[in-house]
Amino acid sequence: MAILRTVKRFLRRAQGWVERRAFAQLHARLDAIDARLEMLTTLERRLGEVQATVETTAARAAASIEYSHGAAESEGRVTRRIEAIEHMLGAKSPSDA
Amino acid sequence: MTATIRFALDLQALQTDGIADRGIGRYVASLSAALQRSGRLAAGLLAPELPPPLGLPPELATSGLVRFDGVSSMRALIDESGPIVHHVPAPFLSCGPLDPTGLVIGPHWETVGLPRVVTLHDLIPLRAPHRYLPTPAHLDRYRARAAWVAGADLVLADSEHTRCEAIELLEVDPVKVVTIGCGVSPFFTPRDGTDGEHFRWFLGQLEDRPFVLTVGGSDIRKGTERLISAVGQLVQAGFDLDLLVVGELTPAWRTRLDEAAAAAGMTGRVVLAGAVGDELLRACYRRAAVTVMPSLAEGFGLPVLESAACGTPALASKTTALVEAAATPLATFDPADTGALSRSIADLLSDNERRATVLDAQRALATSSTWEAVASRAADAVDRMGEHRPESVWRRVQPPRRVALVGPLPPLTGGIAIYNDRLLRALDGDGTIDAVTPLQASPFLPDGVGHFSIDTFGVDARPASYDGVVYTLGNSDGHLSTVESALRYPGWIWLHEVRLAAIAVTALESLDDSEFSGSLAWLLERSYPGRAPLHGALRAGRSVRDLVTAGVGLLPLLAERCRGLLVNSQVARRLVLLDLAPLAHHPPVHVLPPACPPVTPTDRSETEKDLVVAFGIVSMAKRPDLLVDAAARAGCRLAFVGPCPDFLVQVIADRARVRGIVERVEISGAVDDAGWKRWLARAALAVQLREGASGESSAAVLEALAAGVPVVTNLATAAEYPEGTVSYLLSADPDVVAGRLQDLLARPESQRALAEAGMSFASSHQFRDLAQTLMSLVTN
Repeated sequence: MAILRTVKRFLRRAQGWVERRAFAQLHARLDAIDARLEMLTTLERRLGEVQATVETTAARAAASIEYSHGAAESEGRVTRRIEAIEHMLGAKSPSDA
Repeated sequence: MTATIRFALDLQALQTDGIADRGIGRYVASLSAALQRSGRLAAGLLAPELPPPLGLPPELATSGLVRFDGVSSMRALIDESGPIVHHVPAPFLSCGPLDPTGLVIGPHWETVGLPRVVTLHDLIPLRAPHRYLPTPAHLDRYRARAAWVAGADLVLADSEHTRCEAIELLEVDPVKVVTIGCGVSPFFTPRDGTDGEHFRWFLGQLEDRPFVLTVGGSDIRKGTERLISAVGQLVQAGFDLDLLVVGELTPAWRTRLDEAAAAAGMTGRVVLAGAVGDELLRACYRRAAVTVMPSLAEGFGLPVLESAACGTPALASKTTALVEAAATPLATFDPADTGALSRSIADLLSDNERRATVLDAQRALATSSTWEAVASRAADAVDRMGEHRPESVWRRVQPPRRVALVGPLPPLTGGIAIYNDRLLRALDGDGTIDAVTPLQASPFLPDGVGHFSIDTFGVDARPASYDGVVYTLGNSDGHLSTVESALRYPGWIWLHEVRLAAIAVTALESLDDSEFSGSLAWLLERSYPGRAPLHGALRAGRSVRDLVTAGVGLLPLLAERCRGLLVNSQVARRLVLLDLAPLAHHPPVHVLPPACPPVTPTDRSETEKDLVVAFGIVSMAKRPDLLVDAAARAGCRLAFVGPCPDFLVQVIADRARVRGIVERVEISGAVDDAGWKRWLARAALAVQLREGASGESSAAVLEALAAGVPVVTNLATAAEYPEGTVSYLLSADPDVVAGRLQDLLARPESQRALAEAGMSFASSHQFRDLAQTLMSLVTN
């Protein structure tokens, strides 16, 4: 009986040791995963910021480039606008004249 | 649901060429009149963008129920009516790739969320896309519109066939598709001896001749060529028959049908009458031996019943909705079989009993197909829909106010672009705002502000769906796109300058002198009919200054089609009233308050005590030559800060050399925001001169006031600011200007008083105040 009790105590201590060791490793792993997740969340947020900045810059650049290339409207477009305005004001088109 | 549900019925079909006087146009006119007679019409809606309506029933026109569609009339309808549905009876109008799709969709009706009802006439283009939808863009647009139709709360169908098409092709819930049929106008009655002269006048060659009648068109689907062959077979078999084809035909189709007639041995026996009015059509129905509809597909087939109502039996293809219109199998034939077609005609012409049976069946159907019955079925369908809707559907909720601000925005340069940008930021939260600019790419806008390129305004966005459209207009050819839109879609015109001669001069600059004079004279006659200032204006030529002196403002061209004019000062308002037609009605002219940027006093410790700065784009109208003279006499330094054309750099340099003050005059050219602020900090005084008055205000002056920089100016609008806000010059004489500069530079306490008064003015004239005033004016 005494031997059995000794064996039982030994096994319980061993179980506790194994569990502590195993859980310690598990907690360490979980901490590492949490840290990684946090890092990934931060990275994701930063990527979002970068994306927003890039999109904003791109939109501004597109508008600026468009302006430098064509905001002063082309001669053809201005001519078309003038013809449209004259038409709406009642001028006869050359074919009517 | 106890209150009567009424229809806000779209009448655009009556404003559309090629539709108004054909089947769908007649359907819309007749249904709207019948709904009005039954008391179920809340309004007939005309599109303000389209021509006046053709065939609008007189009783409807005089009823007071017809109004122009737009968000304002919709708001009024919501307020004054009980429950209403928006009914679009011709949903496939404006369905091409470049068509203004918003015309039919009606964004304001979509926003308010009232139940949408459509009438479906047919889906033939989906059955034969290769024929009716020539490009993928056409197909995409048609499918998109079909999806919009399918999304309606209720689809009214002309026929059972069309109802089945909606269920099969559009996958509409069968419960939501109701057949209401089509009506025969009471105008179509049997022969009464009253129209002989009319028929003889137009179609004398057919008087006393037996003829087959068909209602055709420039479309192979109508089967007219096959009918010519069929009648040709009958003629060869001994029948004495002619064929009358009514309906608009293109020249190509006329040729095609003439060739078909020749091939069938029918030369001289086929009469192509083209489009005919109802009176002649009735006379034709009354005189025809038989009416034949050999079409391969129709949404209803109204001519069959119209013919029967006039006492003539009709034969129709054994396809689509024509089977329903034919009323009896005895009156149908296989449209792909010419022999069957000719046999059907022969049987009907030679068998009196058969003829009577067919006519009786069709007459019975025609008699029951009244427009009153159609309107009643439509109303019943809407009532049934209403019974299954929650009360909240009918609640009168007004949508948020929507305003479009049309004009330049950064990165486009110029004061108006910056002014518009600041205004948009201040408008935040005042409703729904869309910016409409000449840019294709969206500029950098505050959250919630939408953007349309000006060339898509009216196509992708419907101007009538805005509570207010505000066109911001300056005096350069960069504003031509705004002018074009303002003429096309009338709204509020915000005149930052009220003499628009420069727009005309720059727009016409490519013309030679003779053409220029001709165009200018035309514009003047158009602006000031019968009293054009031709002599002075033509002498002025291309000089904007001389044109303004000659009294050329050109405002009447814009004022004649706008909702109102907005200006920035009382001075501008007075100038506007002087330019508009005297002793005549003109649009309202409202004065908007000036708006300054946020008050941010500059650090005056950096101020250079003898430095006077002229801020803004340099032009001769700002009298740089006079400023150099004044600086020479006042003994101060002078800087021009802002874009300066090369020739003016030369003019200023030459002047400074002559006056011996080269080392005291500086031209910075264009500077960025930081540079602008540095110059504000350095300036002891900001000066702003103008030659003449065009009612303009100066953003540079308002910015200087907000920065706490004392301002010296002769700008007419500045005279309206509270006394002491600026040092106001009554004269731009160099001695007067020099004396004022000298005086102020010598008295720091006067500079401080001006600066404080200026900042006080700026703090009570912010863009937020302007935004509220503007929204209140243009949305009420």
